[in-house]
Amino acid sequence: MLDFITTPLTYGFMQRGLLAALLVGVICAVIGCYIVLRSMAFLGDAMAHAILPGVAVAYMVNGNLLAGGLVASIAVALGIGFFSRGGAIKEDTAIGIIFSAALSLGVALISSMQSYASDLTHIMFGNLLGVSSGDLVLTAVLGIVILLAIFLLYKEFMVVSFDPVLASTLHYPVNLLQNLMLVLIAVTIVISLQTVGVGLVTALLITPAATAQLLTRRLPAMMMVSAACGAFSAVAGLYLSYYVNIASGSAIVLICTLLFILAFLFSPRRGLVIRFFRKS
Amino acid sequence: MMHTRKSDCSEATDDARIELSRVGVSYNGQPALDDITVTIEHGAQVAVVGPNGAGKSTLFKALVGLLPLRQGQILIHGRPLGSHNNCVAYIPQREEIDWRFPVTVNDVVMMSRYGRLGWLRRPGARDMKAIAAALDQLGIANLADISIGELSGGQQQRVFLARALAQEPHILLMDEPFTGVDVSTQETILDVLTQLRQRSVTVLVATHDLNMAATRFEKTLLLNHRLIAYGHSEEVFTSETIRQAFGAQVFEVGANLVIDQCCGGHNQQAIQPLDIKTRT
Repeated sequence: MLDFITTPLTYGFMQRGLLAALLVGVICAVIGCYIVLRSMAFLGDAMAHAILPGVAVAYMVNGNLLAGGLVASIAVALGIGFFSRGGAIKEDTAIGIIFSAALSLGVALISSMQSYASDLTHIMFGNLLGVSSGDLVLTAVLGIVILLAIFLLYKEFMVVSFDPVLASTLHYPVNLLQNLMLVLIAVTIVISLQTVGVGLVTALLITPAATAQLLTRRLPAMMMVSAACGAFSAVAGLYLSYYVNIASGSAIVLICTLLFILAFLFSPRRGLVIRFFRKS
Repeated sequence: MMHTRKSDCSEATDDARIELSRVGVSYNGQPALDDITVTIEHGAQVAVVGPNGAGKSTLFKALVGLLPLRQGQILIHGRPLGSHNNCVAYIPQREEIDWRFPVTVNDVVMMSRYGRLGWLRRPGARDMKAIAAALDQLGIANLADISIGELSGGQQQRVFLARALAQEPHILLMDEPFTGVDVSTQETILDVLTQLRQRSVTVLVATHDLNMAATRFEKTLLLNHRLIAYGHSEEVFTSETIRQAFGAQVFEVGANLVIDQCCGGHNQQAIQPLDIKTRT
């Protein structure tokens, strides 16, 4: 039994992969609570896809992938604001247009490279087993910054998310806080790139948080449970991918989804099963 | 004492009067309020009445600085909007709140104190006391640890009134507080208004219940994009002003005016006969 757990860890790349997945699983799950509570799932997905051209350009010029991704996601957030301002088109329409345009631009740029197929696969679906020690350190440092910001600005972020009108009467800098939140989400997405890729990061942001919302009554508890779900999915998913020999990113997301379905069915207060028995 | 946060409302000793001069506000690109000039005296309790879409909510959102003024000026305490903290508490319509948000009654009421706490500060004993007093006053101390999603309509309204009281405002704005609540909650709200009168808190209540406005509020502000009338309730309601405000919705039935507020609004009485004496 112990062998079952320790055998994969005899490989250095598995150790680094496991740590990276744990870090990303927890960070995504915590900040994902705000994405779920503010109904920003579509915006999160759009930002994930939108970083593709930034990453591609950075890759082509041998620049910093993180910086490229960040610039692209901030440009997209501003672009969405620009097109939906004044009410000419709705915000979700603006998101849809810009995110597919950014995705296409990213694919176009990457398709001009020679190693097109494998690069695109890595960016879209992650390359967990290719995590270097440098990547790991960068992920850890940025992850700590993100979690620290969420901890220190707990009451500000909570009020801005729950009741922006109150935040405004309390004279909070509402726009600044909302933009800071977008930047934190963008950084989270960029550091998740290597683990689960652009295509699957939304699942890590949304699914553990949605699971936790079914199980908890207060925001701190929701963040804890969400983080636990994210961490468990990361570890269990990685072992699943090792033993069943499937892609690690998709294994992690599938475990996440399984936890959500269990919570949806069996949550003590809101579960489908409980509600069914209460009715009959 | 000017630091990053604005001066606290309790430092303002002058009257909590509200002065609007030639105020115009647009909402979603449409002009919603036009050329409003009125002074609401310190400690007045005012019913804000008008047909659906007359700009009642827009007026409140402008007063808390949520909507920019197209023209004119609003002074509170004789100073422009935003130059002090915590002066104005705003109770939004219940449908504007996300009742699935993972917060308890206690958490919501505690938010009122956040404006007094600086960045990075946690609530202290004085805040706890203020909250407990507000919960007590509204008879919901037993609900403190309940999550807001489990409350009835009347209880929800009480929670937000408790939050506004704990904010210790000089000016209180309530948007349709009597809509969809039980009779005992209505009476509780009116009791609280009586206590606020003793503390000289200036109160504006948006309502579509004209009888409530006429019988329970000393002042009425009749609004339909423009200011139709402001003054003592018995003087404001004349058949002429009511016709100006409600137009084709007014019918004459014998000696009474009847206002048809059906259609285009939400949960309203279909036909509202006016008990008040109308002068011709």
